[in-house]
Amino acid sequence: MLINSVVMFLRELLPLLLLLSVLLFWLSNHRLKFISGVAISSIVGVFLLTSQFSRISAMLDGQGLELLYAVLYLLTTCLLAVSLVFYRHRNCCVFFAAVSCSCLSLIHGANLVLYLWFYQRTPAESQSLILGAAMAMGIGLSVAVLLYYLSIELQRFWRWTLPLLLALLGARQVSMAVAILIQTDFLPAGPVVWDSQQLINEQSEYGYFLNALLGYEATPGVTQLGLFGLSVLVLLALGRRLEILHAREF
Amino acid sequence: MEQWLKSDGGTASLNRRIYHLVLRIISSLSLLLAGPLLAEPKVFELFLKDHLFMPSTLYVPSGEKVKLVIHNQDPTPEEFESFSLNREKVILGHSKGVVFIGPLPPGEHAFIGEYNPDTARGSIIVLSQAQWQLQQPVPPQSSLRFADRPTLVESPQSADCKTRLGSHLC
Repeated sequence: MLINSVVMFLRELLPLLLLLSVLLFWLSNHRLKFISGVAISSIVGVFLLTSQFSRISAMLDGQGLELLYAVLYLLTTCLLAVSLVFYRHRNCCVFFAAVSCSCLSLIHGANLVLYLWFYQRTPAESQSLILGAAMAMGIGLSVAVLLYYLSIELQRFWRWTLPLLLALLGARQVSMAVAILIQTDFLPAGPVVWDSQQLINEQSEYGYFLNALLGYEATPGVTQLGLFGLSVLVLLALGRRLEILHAREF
Repeated sequence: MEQWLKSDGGTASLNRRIYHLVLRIISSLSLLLAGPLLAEPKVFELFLKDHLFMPSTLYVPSGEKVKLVIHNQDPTPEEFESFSLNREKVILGHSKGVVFIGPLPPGEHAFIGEYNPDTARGSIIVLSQAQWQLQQPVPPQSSLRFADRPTLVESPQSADCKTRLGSHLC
């Protein structure tokens, strides 16, 4: 139960914490505004979403929740792209980045609420759950803080660090949305491009980290990989102006 | 549009080419989107009760898309997860979820119920088309003409099927 809880919480928290960490690095002068925006919209959003969970889940032949998640993943990337476009208008940029992060926190927050409150547990199980949640939070925060300081250091030597991290995180959300659209039969999967299960297992620590950062799949399909690559290129093109801006700052 | 196509000389030719190219792209995209609607996939059902999948081993044919309907008969939610298939689906208590898989090559893919991974486990075995045909039930004898009825002697194919897949499947 303890291990299961750690894995469950880590899988839900890590993608969100990594995105938060990179956005906090980018918007370092507007941290308070950004964090408060994310917190308020996430709490309200998760409350509204979970109150309609059963209804949404039953829609479209039992695929309503997945399609909503796919839309939220795509919105995360689109709003991240919009915030890159408006990077000179700081207020707009912070607003769109905060809403983008909230879209992702809606998905992961709703999954955690489902796991935490829709389940009836014995007192012993509840204890393991709380301990597992605390451990996962600790691990997730450590990784996010490590990425934050690593990004700051790397940015000094290589100005493309921030645009690349933003592009990878944005493309990861597109990859997740595509995976959902494939499993709901809205997109064709195409043949599997490679199988790196033996090299990096998706259930290993590295697998979880790479999945949270860039949507790592051991057996990616052509559609998923193609759209991931396209998203990286588009976001890098948008982030190019950030690179120029940082070149002036450092 | 007509005026645009009737522009002078070289411009008209270029416009017409662009127009045809756009039409071709739109028709290709519409075919790609309509693709999934054309073929009706085979449906397989999986039941979850007391945090156990039934059947725990599901046989599906290779080379075609199949529809997997998962019925969660428990009061609690469960998340169907298969890493090798890249599939993940939350199913609330007393409800069902649909997941499309394939087309896949022959092989085995494990799946778990992520909220109860110790008990909710199973695997999907993808059979080659030949193996799949072997394990399909023979049509009832009354529906066959006398001359077409199979002999009572066990065919080598059937014996081979039982050896490889078990007698309950052949």
